[in-house]
Amino acid sequence: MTQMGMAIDLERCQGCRACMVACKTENDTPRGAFWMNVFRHEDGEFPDVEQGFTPNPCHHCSEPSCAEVCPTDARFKRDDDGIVLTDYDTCIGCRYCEVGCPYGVNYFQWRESEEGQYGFGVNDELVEDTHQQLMELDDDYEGGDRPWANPELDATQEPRDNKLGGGDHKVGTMGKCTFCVHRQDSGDEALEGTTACEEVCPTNVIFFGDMEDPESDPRQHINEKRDKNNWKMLEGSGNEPNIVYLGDKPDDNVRSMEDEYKDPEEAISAEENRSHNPAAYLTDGGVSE
Amino acid sequence: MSLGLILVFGVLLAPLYLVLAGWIFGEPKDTETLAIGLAFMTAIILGPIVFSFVPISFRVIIP
Amino acid sequence: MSTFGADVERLTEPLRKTSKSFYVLFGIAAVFSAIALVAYLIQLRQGLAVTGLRGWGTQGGTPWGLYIGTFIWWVGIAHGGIAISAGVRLFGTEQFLPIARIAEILTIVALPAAATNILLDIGRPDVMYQMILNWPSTVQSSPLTWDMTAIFLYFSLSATYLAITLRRDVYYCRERGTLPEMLDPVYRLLLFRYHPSENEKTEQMVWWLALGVLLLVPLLSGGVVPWLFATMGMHPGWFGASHGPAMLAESLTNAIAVVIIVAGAFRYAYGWDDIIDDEVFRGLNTLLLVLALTTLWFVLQSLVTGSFPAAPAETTSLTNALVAGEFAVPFWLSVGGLLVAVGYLAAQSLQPSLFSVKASVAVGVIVSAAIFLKKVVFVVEGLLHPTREPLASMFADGSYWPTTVEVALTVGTLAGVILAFLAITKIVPIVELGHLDDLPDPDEGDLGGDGSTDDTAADTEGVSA
Repeated sequence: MTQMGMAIDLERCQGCRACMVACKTENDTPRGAFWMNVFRHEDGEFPDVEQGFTPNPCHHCSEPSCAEVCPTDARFKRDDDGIVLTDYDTCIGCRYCEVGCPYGVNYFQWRESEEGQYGFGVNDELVEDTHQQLMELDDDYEGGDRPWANPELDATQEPRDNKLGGGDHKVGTMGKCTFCVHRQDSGDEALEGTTACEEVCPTNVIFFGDMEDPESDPRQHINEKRDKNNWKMLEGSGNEPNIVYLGDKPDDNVRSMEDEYKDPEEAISAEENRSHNPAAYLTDGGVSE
Repeated sequence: MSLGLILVFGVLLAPLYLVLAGWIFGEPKDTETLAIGLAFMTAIILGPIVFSFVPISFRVIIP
Repeated sequence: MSTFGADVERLTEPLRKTSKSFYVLFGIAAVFSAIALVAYLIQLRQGLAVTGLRGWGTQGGTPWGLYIGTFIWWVGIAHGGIAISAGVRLFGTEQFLPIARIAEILTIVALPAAATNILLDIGRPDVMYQMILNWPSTVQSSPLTWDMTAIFLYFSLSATYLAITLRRDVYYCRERGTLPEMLDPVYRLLLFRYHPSENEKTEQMVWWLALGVLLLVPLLSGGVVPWLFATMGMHPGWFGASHGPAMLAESLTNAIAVVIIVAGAFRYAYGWDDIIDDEVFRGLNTLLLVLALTTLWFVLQSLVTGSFPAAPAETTSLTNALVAGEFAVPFWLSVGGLLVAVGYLAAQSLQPSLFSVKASVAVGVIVSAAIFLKKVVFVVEGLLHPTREPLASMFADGSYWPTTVEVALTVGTLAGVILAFLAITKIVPIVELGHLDDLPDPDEGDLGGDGSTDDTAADTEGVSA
């Protein structure tokens, strides 16, 4: 029995959020969706304040409540490696998985694809210009609203014989961290057993692997740090999450250091109001008519 | 035997079983009227089910 | 079989004559329905981003809001209708006979309204049939599937009840020529293989249907609908066994309030003061009083258990939010409305001179609005406290406010229901004629009521009952 999971070493995490950026680029997630999320929190009263950083991807639970409540079986747990996935063609977008999941890792595609993709909320000259140049420079890109999507995301995965990896951008469907399933099923040994967030982390916080295998990276790291505090998020929830945190557990009194992330509406209107002088955006002497 | 199966087939549908039992075994026995009643109920049950396929037509608007 | 005295011609008048105020109301409802249609097209085209809903984690919002709250409200209304009619059949509460059919129709129009509110909330309605295709698998675990099953069952039993009870009346009216000819194909479909001799069996069948429907009520408003929320262990605002009974009480309170409003509307519209008489309203008022008190009693439960110092921190913060925080205004408006209603209802039962139909209808409106607020607050408040510590604190606090699209669509469903109701009053008799004192028994063939059993449509023309 394989169950993919992670060991996340909180003693090393500096809250740089490179993992969030890597996840976004790897998975081509829509605006406002942060499949990998890192909390920046603080605790205590000045001058005794402590900061903490807690990465929170999908925990790919062994008893996933999101899959329990899904009325169409669009959300399901894969048998062979325990990854919890979403079938975008079956998903009706009821958001019950988001309601049922206690970890807050589900993201609904609120807006149509064009607005939902970074840089394309506004259809003006600069955007068209960029489009044009991309088509000239990139043989694989034929136009459309996602010029910088990872082509590996087009592959389909079992057991649904459907594209299960990466953001779907279909309005009205749910998405969440897939443990980079497109990498796991790619057949490329260099990619299998890795995730984008793990790969990019500069301080080796994330260890991805089979939690049932004592020789796997996460299990080995947990074993090395066995004298440290090791805990799971919301362990009593009955979901049986598969992400093990190493390091101190945040108090119930922590405060988030920030407000909710910017609503895509704001980002889109910022794009609308940006300078329309293309020269302002070209830093390497690229050509623009 | 999941919670859902017991709940739906054991509890939730119990009123339906009761109705059908009352119809079939209760006096007066009138097969033709019973059949008409069952036909109506079947048609009415199928109605919403068929109707749930209608929104497929929304694809013309959904981007 | 219980009966009441009334003029059949007068009761079927709505089928033949249409007043100006009917057209005005129809027009207004049509306008709001059209606005809702446009709003829905906008929502389909641009996605649910046009609503005030957002993800509950990093997006600081609530994924469910006005649509789902309104859905629960409509399911409650759907109970009131058929429950009144079933109660008449099973318990012989004759005073409600005149409104039995109006109540049944209320159920039949309220259930699709509930389903519409779900449809409005769904991101991909074009794939909704997947719920049907995957039913064998998802029924095992998903409360949403259970909910859909229960609602389909409730609709089926109620619609079958209505169809069967209509057959006798439609046959009688059609034989007398009091039905609009244009709709004859509809009537013939309804009267498929009808013969007056079936009435004995159908009475029996309808009795069992009434029983089945009544048994389903606590399983729907007090069962699958609360279970959507009450099973969510990590939501401190939702989890718990108390929500089933509490939501049942709220739903039934709302149901009776709406029946009062609808009964009052019909009494006023048709001048039926003697048919939908004061006894109907006095009886409904007593029911409403008991139900509203029960609802308030459940509110008391949650306030006491939530305010006591030994309550868990999450529950305390929720209760604070309700009583003194971001939900204080809708919460106290709702409780206040219920208290005002209870005050009047108690007063008019102790001092009958205080009773008036107008006041009863006003109280019905207040109660229905109060319960509506309560339902929406329940959904939103639960999602603004969407998980437990330490995770709950790590996310920023959320907020929710409905947008114009959401409001337009919610109002539009109400308008649509009014439209449907108005249309139905033109198609079928809205009083159960089978219960009239002086209705000649079609079995004996005296349809014209003139003592002769040799009647044709021509004979019955111009004869008053």
